[in-house]
Amino acid sequence: MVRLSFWAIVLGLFATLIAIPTGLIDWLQIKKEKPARKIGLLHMGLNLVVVALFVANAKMRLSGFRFDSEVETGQLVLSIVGVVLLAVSAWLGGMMVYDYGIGVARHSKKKWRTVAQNAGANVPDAK
Amino acid sequence: MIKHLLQGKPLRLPLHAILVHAPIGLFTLSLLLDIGSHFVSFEGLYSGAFYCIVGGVVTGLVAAIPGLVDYTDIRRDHPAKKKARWHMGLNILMLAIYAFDGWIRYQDLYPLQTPPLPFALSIAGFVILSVSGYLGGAMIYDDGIGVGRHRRRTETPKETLGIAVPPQRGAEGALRFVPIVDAELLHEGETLRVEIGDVVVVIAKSDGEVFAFQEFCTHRFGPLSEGRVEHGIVQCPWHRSCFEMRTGKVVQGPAKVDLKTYPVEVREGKICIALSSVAAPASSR
Repeated sequence: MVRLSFWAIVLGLFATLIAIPTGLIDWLQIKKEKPARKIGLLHMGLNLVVVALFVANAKMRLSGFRFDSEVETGQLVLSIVGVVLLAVSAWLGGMMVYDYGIGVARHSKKKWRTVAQNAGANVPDAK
Repeated sequence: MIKHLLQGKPLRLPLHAILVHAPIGLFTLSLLLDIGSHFVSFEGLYSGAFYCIVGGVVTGLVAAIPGLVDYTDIRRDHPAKKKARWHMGLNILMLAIYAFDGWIRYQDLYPLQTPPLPFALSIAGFVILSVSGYLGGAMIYDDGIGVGRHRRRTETPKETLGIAVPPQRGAEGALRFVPIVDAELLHEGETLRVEIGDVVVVIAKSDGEVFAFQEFCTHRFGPLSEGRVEHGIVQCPWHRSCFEMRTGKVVQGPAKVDLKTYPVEVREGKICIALSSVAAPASSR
C-alpha cells in the first residue's frame, strides 16, 4: 500500500504535465472582464499549490517507500491537505464549465448555428 | 428533492461528472501499474492494480446512479439522448469486463508481471472507457447537457410538441393563430418546446403571462426552453445571456442579437401562436 500510493503520486504528477499547458491555454482564451477569468486564476493557483505539496510529499517518501509498511503521519497529513485543496480547486473548475459555460459549444457552435437557422431563429452574422 | 441531490444541484454542478473521476482515475492507474510491472520487477504493482480495479468497479457503480438520473432528464428528441444511450451501454460493458478482470486477478495476486489475459482485459476495458468518456464529454461540451441546469427552478421539457402547419386560410399575410396546448398545462416558470413545421418555438409562462419566442439563443444557440424564466426575462442556461421575452430584446450579453418573438393568445382555454411569421422557415425565405 505504501508503494502503491507512492506510485500513484508520481503518476499523478506526470499527468499534470499534460493538464497544465491545456488548462493554461483555456484560461488565456477567457475574456479578461469575465468572472470566470478570476475563478480560473484561483483554480490555477490552488492547483500549483497542490502540485508543490505532492512533489514535497513524493520526495519525503522516496527513501522509505519500498520497505516501509506504514505511511508516516507527516506524509499522510500532506496527502490529506493536498486532496482537500484539489477537491476545492476541482469544484472551481466545474463552476467554470457548468455555471459559466466555459468551453461549452466552443467546437459545436457551427453545428448549432445550422440547427437554429433551419428552425427559423434569428442568428448573428457569421464571422 | 432526491432527484435534485442526485443531479448535484446544491453543488451547482452535476454529481455524475464529479463521481466519474474516481473510476477513471483508478482504472487508468491500474493500467499504468500493469504496464510498469513489465518494465520493473517491484512487488506490489500487480496487487496494486487489482485493488485499483476493485475500487474502480465499486465507484463506477456508484457513479452510474446519478448518471441514470441525468439520462432521464435529457429531452427525448435531443441529439445527446443517443450519445447518452451509447455512453451508458459502453460503460455497462466496460464495468462487466473489469469485474471479470478483477475476478481473474483475485485467483492469484502474486505474479510480478501482469499475465496476458488480465492485461488484455484491462486494455479492452480502458479503450471502451476512453470512447465512452469521450461521448460523456461531448454531451457536456458540444450539447451543453447539465450546463446551467442548477439555475432552472422547474422541470425542463421532456419532449418537443410537434404541431402540423394548418392549410392557409384567409388573406395572404394575415395572422393565423394555431392552437398548441391547453393553457392550464403550462405553469409559472415552466416552458414548452414546440415544433411547428420546421420552426422551433419556446412557450414560457412568467408572472401569469404567456410568451413565445425562438428556441435557440443568439450567442452560441443554447436551448432557451431549458433556461430560467423569471419576471418576463429568459436566461440562457449556457452563458447567461438574458432576453426580454415580450420583445426578444437582449437585456444582458454575451448575446448581441435579439430573439424572434411570436404573437401568443389564449383562445378558448388554448395557447395559440400566430403563424404568419411562423410559417416561413429560414430555408424558404
